[in-house]
Amino acid sequence: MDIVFEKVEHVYNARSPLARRALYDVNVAIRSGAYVAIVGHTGSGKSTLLQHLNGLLQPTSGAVKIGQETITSNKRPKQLKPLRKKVGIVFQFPEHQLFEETVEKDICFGPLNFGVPEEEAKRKARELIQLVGLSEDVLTKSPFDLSGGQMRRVAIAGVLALEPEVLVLDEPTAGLDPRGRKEMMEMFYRLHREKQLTTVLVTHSMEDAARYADEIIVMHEGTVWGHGTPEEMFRDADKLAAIGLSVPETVKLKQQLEKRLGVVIPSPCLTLEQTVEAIQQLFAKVSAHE
Amino acid sequence: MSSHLIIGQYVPGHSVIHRLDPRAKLLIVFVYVLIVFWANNIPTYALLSLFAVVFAALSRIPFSFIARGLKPILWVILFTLLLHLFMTKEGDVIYRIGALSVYEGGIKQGLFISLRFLLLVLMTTMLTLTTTPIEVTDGVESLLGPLKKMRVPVHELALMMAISLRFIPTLMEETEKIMKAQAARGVDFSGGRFSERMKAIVSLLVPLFISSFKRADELATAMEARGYRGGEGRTKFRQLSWKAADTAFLAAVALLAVLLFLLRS
Amino acid sequence: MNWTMPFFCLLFIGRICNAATQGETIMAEPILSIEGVSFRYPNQSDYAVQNVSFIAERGEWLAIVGHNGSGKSTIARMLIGLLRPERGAIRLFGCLLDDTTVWEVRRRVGMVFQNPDNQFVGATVEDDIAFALENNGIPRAEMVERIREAIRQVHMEPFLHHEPHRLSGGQKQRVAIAGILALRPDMIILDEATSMLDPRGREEVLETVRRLNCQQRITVLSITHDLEEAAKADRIIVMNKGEVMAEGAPEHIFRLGSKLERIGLDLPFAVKMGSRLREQGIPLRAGYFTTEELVEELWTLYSKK
Ligand SMILES: Nc1ncnc2c1ncn2[C@@H]1O[C@H](COP(=O)(O)OP(=O)(O)OP(=O)(O)O)[C@@H](O)[C@H]1O
Ligand SMILES: Nc1ncnc2c1ncn2[C@@H]1O[C@H](COP(=O)(O)OP(=O)(O)OP(=O)(O)O)[C@@H](O)[C@H]1O
Ligand SMILES: [Mg+2]
Ligand SMILES: [Mg+2]
Repeated sequence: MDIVFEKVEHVYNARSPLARRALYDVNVAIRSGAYVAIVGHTGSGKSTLLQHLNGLLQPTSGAVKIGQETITSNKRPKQLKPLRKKVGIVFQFPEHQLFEETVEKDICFGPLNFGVPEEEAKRKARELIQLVGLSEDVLTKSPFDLSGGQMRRVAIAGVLALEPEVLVLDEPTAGLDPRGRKEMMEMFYRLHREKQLTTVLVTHSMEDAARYADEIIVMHEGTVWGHGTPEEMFRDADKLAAIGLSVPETVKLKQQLEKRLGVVIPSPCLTLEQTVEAIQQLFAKVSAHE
Repeated sequence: MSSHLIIGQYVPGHSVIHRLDPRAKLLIVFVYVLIVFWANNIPTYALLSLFAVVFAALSRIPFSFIARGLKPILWVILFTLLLHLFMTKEGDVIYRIGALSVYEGGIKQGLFISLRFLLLVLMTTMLTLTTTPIEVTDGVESLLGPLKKMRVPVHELALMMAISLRFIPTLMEETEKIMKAQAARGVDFSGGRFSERMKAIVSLLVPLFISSFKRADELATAMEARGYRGGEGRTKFRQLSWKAADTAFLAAVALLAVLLFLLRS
Repeated sequence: MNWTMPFFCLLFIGRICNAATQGETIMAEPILSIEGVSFRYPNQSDYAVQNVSFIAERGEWLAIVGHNGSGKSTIARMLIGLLRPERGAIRLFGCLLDDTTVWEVRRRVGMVFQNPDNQFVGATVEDDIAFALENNGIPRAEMVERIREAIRQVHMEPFLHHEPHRLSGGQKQRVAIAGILALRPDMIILDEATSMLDPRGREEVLETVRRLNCQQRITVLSITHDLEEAAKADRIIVMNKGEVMAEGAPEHIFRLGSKLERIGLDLPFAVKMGSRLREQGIPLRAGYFTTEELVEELWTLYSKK
């Protein structure tokens, strides 16, 4: 499902003294099957943008096209329900949305709302609980007896149970320890590939954006500041710094090395592995010259 | 971060009314609410209305904004008006629709009662529009101060009120977040069958309660960590200051009371 | 170069103070010492914290790291008497922590919690800073003075009358710090105080605390998952399943390498990079912590060739 934003504007509390424009002139396209990271500093409109992807918010002007559907300012929420099944959103601290007595019921909650038969929903719950890295016996427990990290996995399973075509993630790893963070990001990447999802990730971690995303959208003060591959977006560290963002550590290292050594490193150095390889080659070349 | 919520209905400003001591405002509104019930003829209602209108005008809050706040009670007023129109049987018959007759007394009563209701709401709204909730709390605490001698836990009550007020925007934000998260899982908060609606409400309330308990728990811990141990031996940072304007306004409302008492029939 | 002047003055004063305290007593007691502390939550069979001992020196920056549920917050809570150890003793400022000293300890030790929203008590910034002062019965005239001083130290002067919902997470945490500073504390405990913030908010808060640590020699105990932050500490304590697994200077701790990764932790970027390069046969010395140092080292190697 391709997603296209055309001249999207969103004003909160429109037509009141408290009106606040959170998005304006947003024109951006997310192609089907892409892994897109959205970065930008706090208040730049990332979460507002996300909520347009399944009609939780409607543009106050302009249009959002998601596959066959078009959302404009005058579409009623009733008509948006089919869309909600196709686009699953995992909000920040998703464990806050758990409420059922058992994990199984909570995971089935979404599918049942969309009219999936109970047997089928339960089967899905069993499949998903393993997919998110928990064991099947967790299903009968109360979600509130689990640790923070486990609760988050259950909540994520609850969104995946909708079998969305587009998976939207709003800072999914906040508050986890380093291992939890890494495992979770790897899990999303695996899902992205195995289920051919379109993935949209909002993150403050430039490392994650560089590592996983095919494209990066940079938001700044309510509009799209830049859009391109990680390599393109992280080319100019100073320009990013001017809007309060940084480049990944690996790119920082590459740029400092280039400056100090007076060489050009051709590799974009987006991951640790790439960077190690690039430095190795650099040293190999020197040895070869001797 | 969200700067979009306004606690209560407070509209920031620097008008005379905004700057009045909250105790003065509380007293003014309190007296006004009492004496509204004295009015029973055209001069008295005219005086009351004049006072309220001047008070509202001095606050410099756009009339449209006040009107919007009054809109929800319009139906109640209309209902009282109609009730009195058809139920009161005094004076001459003015109009007749089939079996129903409208009397002159009915019209008068209906108008008066509706006006009384409108004035009551207007003045209390003016209080909340021009006073921050925390000022109201301070005012109430100060006015109730004498009750401390009677072992009424005025300090604790005031602190409780202040903290609840402080958390209203946070809870509203939380509610919105949970509703959105559940809507993304296919919950429809705007309609559906009864059982669906119940489910929708449960899916909102359970997480909301759990997070509120957690908040309350963390807040209590944080307060204890910062040395809170009840009202004993505590000093107070917020102070109220009574100014000439406060006395003047209080005098005005007293004058209003006297006039009302003399002019009522 | 007049901006360096205060810095030199401070260094100088620091020297004098150091000399003075050293002259006074050789056996200067640590500001905090914990001896064999264990704790179990009610109705739980497992210990959340088991036989933990460590000390903190005055003016030190101590980082505590460990996986989720390793007992870090539990320790922090015991330090200010919110929980009472089942076994062991906690000494602060040379006194045993008990019912008689707990209020004094809470005045001298401030704690910043994880969630910025759930520790903001006041209706506005100044009310919130005043809260702890009110609790300690400080007269109003002095309160005004101390609030002004505290707000200045965290650079939040323009926000004195703001309500909490008009502040960002980082700003709220700085207000929490100001609330502690107003009490003129000796020690600040940060319990993952930056984990819910964006990078900029995180940097603002850490910068503030670093300044206080340097200039006023306030002891800092920082619980964190951010290894880059821990790398800048004077000393690190690694917790694993309720016990202290390792303790020492960052260079010492990060030498544990994959052992840390095995208990759910990470390594700072430059350390990780260094060890990967070494594995690939680039002869780097062990233990670099900043990207700058790594670049220097690579440059040396490169130009030698
Ligand atoms: N429900 C709301 N009502 C009114 N204004 C809002 C609302 N939600 C957000 N805003 C405002 O819209 C702007 C964009 O907010 P948004 O939450 O989209 O930012 P963000 O990029 O997601 O920030 P963060 O990184 O902090 O999550 C902000 O100025 C914010 O104050
Ligand atoms: N109120 C409580 N009642 C019962 N058990 C608790 C309570 N609080 C924490 N625990 C348990 O005690 C252990 C230590 O928890 P603690 O909160 O100290 O960990 P932590 O290191 O701070 O973890 P995190 O990184 O997630 O903040 C955990 O196993 C936790 O489940
Ligand atoms: Mg956001
Ligand atoms: Mg903790």
